[in-house]
Amino acid sequence: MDPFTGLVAGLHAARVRFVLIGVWGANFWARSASTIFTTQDYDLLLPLDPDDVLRTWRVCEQAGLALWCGDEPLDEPRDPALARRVVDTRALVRATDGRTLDVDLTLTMSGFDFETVWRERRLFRAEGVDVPVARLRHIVESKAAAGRSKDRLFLATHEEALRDLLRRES
Amino acid sequence: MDEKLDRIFEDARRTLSAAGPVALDPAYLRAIERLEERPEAAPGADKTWVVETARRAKQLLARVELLT
Repeated sequence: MDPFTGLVAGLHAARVRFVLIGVWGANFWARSASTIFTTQDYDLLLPLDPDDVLRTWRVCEQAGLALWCGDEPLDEPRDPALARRVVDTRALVRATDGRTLDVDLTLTMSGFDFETVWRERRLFRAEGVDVPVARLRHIVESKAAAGRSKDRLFLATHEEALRDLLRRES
Repeated sequence: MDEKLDRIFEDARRTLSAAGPVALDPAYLRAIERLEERPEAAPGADKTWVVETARRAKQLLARVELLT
């Protein structure tokens, strides 16, 4: 099983609520590999709930992933107090195998709250595992709200690709 | 194809020089809605190929070496 899919299965088993967002979330809406955008990291949106955050860390550790916050390993002990602090500060934690799997565990999505994204998520399947993915419209609108250089680049390219696709089909 | 690439890169150059929220074209949003309603985007659709594409892309990038 792919390491990412394995992680998703582990999160389900731990009853974590999460939604795949960002570029890889958009990729799940793609119709073919020609409209896939490659980027190293997956972005998982978590609720502002220390219990979910803590369970996510444990699943990541069990999968052999190291947890980082900024340029440093995530503090220890990784307990409810630390999870609360991470939630309160909306800190980004990254889970990585140091090679090909990088997963950003984010608590924020520009322009959206978790519950809205969660309520309208789409469940796709990959390798027999349900993958909860944010609506494409939410992903795109979030990138538009953030307006960083990399978001602008994505939007310009994605819009072009989508229009080409629909033009060919009409 | 070159003209299309030029147009994409020109759009990218123009957009990268700006900052802040982006106004989305209503036609783009309509296209997204059409995409979301397609059969292959239905709940439960098998997207294993997306994960496989990601894995292949990452394996390829991991083997890239700087030659010059």
